[in-house]
Amino acid sequence: MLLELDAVSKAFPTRGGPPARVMERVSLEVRAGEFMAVLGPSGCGKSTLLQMAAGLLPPTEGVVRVLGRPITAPPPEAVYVFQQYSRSLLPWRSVRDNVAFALEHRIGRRAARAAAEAPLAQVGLAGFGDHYPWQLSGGMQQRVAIARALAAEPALLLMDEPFSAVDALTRLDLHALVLEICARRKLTVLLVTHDVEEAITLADRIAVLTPRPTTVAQVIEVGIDRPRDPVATRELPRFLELRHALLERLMTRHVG
Amino acid sequence: MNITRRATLALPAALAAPALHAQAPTKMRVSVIPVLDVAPLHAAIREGYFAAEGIEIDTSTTAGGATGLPGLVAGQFRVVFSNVVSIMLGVREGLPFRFVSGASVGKDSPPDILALLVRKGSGIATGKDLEGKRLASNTRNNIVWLRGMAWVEKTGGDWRRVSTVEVPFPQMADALAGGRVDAAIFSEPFVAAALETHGDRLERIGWPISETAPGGTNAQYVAMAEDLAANAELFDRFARALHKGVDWVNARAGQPALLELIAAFSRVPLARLQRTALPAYPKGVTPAELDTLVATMQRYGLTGSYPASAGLIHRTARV
Amino acid sequence: MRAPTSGTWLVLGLLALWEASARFGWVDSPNWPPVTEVLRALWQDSVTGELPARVGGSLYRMAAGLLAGGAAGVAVGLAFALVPLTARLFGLVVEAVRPIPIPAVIPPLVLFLGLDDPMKITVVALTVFFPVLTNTMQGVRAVEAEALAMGRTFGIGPWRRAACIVLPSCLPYTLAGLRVALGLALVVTVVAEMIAGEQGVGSYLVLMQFAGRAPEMYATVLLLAGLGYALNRGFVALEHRAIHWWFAMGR
Repeated sequence: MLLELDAVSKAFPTRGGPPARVMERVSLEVRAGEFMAVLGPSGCGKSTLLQMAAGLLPPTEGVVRVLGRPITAPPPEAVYVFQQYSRSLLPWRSVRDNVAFALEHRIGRRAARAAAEAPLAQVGLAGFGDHYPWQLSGGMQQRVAIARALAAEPALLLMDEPFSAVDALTRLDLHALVLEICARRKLTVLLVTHDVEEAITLADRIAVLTPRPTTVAQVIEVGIDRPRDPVATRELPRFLELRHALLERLMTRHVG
Repeated sequence: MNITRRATLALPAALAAPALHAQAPTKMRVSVIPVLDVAPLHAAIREGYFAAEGIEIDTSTTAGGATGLPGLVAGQFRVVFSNVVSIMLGVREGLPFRFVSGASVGKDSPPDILALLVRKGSGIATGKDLEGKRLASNTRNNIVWLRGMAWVEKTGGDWRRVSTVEVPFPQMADALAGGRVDAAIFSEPFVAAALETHGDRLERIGWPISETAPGGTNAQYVAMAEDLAANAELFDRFARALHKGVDWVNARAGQPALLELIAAFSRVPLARLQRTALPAYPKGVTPAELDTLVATMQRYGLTGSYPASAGLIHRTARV
Repeated sequence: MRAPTSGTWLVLGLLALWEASARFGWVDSPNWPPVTEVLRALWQDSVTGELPARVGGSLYRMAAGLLAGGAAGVAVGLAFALVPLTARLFGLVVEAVRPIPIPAVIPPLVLFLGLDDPMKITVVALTVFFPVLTNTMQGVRAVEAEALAMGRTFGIGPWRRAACIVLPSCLPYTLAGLRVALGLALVVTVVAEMIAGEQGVGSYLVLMQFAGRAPEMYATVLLLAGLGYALNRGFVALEHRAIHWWFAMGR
């Protein structure tokens, strides 16, 4: 098991009142090489879950394990891709130097710069190394963030609604990119999203969360063969069936 | 604390001084004001009298002398040039100032280094006329102010009924001509400057020194008693060099060479200096002049108990 | 270069008004010389080398104070913002010292540091310290949490995170504080030089005031105005180079 959340709960202190429990005994297992999506309504604490998985936030109760090892700090195997790419990219660094930032502290600036070219090419940004992030579109900026994550050659990629801030077409482009990268590298991915179609398109399994206090309602096998095409996949009967079921589930949850 | 540290550091140097003249001059920092009174000091520096005594003088100009005496207490200066009233007020508060040398006294007859100016046509001619009026002095409770109060009384006025306004010398002529004050006590070279530029509107009505205390004391050089005790020999050399400077200045009274010297250190234009009254430059300080001064100070409200004058005069000033 | 702006015309107009008011006796005082005479005095004392030497000395003291106060402001600002314990320990001291006007701290500084460069540079450094401190702290607060978390997930240590994420991202704030401090620093340098000593523009100003040489006094004033303007322009140019990204992002 690459990543394991074992009965993890999280409570945040409130002013005056009792602590607010946002997450109640969530258990989740992500196997090596698997793409798992965590799907839940807005505000259900998806990001909190991912930050605990990344070692950025300590759970109130329960344990997070990476390769069987309990973690208290960001584990070297994992890299995080943030929703707000514009905030996680460093505006004073060029695109190349942003990607190199993932490696500099390990292999030195010069080697890191050289090593930045391949991931940049992989995300389709060859030739953009000298640009600055703020000169690029939102989709391109998120590609830079993905290239930076890939540069660190992680075993585990944690993605926090990474495509929610870009337009629909760009999102499809990025889906294609992620599918291609996962096909090429044996990456394990935990993706948090509220987008049902995105979850089905990308994931092998989907964990559906309940509203607060969050628990795992259900884990669903997607069962669509790879390689997948982000456009064609959406027309498959299995896709439509899953979409229907998941939307129904999330919406009735809302109403009920 | 600073002073004792300085003194102990300076002591061995002073003892060894005669042998070391050539290679290691003793540095002495002297606080001065860029006025006519310090001409002998600059003469002694320029003529090499200090160098000949193995002393290197580092003058530090302070605006109005406000930092001079406090700086002496704090150990920033070895010697401070200051007006006698400020010195005696410090002595009254128990500060161990000792007179190292005289610097300037008024002359027996006009022209004085101080003058009282009013606007032409103001009708003010005596101290009596000044009652209820505004009189400018550069500072309250200094020698300029004291001589001004004495003049008010001498000419029939009640000094308590004259309100003193502090105006720096450089701004006095404008303040007076502009009607912001009714009269002002100027010191040279600001008297000459005011009459030069505002002569059509201002006129002199009094000579505060020669009319109240001819030849009256004005300013001196002082040092700290502990420093003098510990480094008596150094101060002997200091005074010797300074007094040679006094001789140089006195020998050239009224000559262009003196005015050129003053113009060089004070930057006052030479043409103005030619119309400027100079003080007399004494070497010593006498108990009598201090006693007279203290009596004057007591009379004009600077009351209190002052120590005996004779004990304040270091041997270098008993000439 | 740009064509003269309305601002330039205003300055030229004011100078012309100055000249006329002195020439035609609208303001009749030796302390109000015509601007042409002021410029002549400026020229004369410049070619003798006196003013350039004094300006150089003042600039040196100002630069030393800026450097010392700026470095201290950044260091303390970072410490306060990143290590809450330091803020709890020293925050009160800093807040208590901040509102004291500079003239009030000069006497104790003279007592402890003397009248020479250490005192003058310290006065400048103190003036510079507070705006830089405040702005640096504000800058640290503005550092993106995502950027810091990003650094953590890549396994970058706290020192490197401070140097490579916190410092660059609060640089625009620190530089803004430094720009404010620059204007104050020149003023305070001159004031400190007026207290005592024979060096610098401040001492020249006192000397010329006592000598009753108004043209030289105003020459100094003009010089300081020009110097302040040039320093600010130079700093802004430098700032645009150092944090071009900040301006490019339209912040």
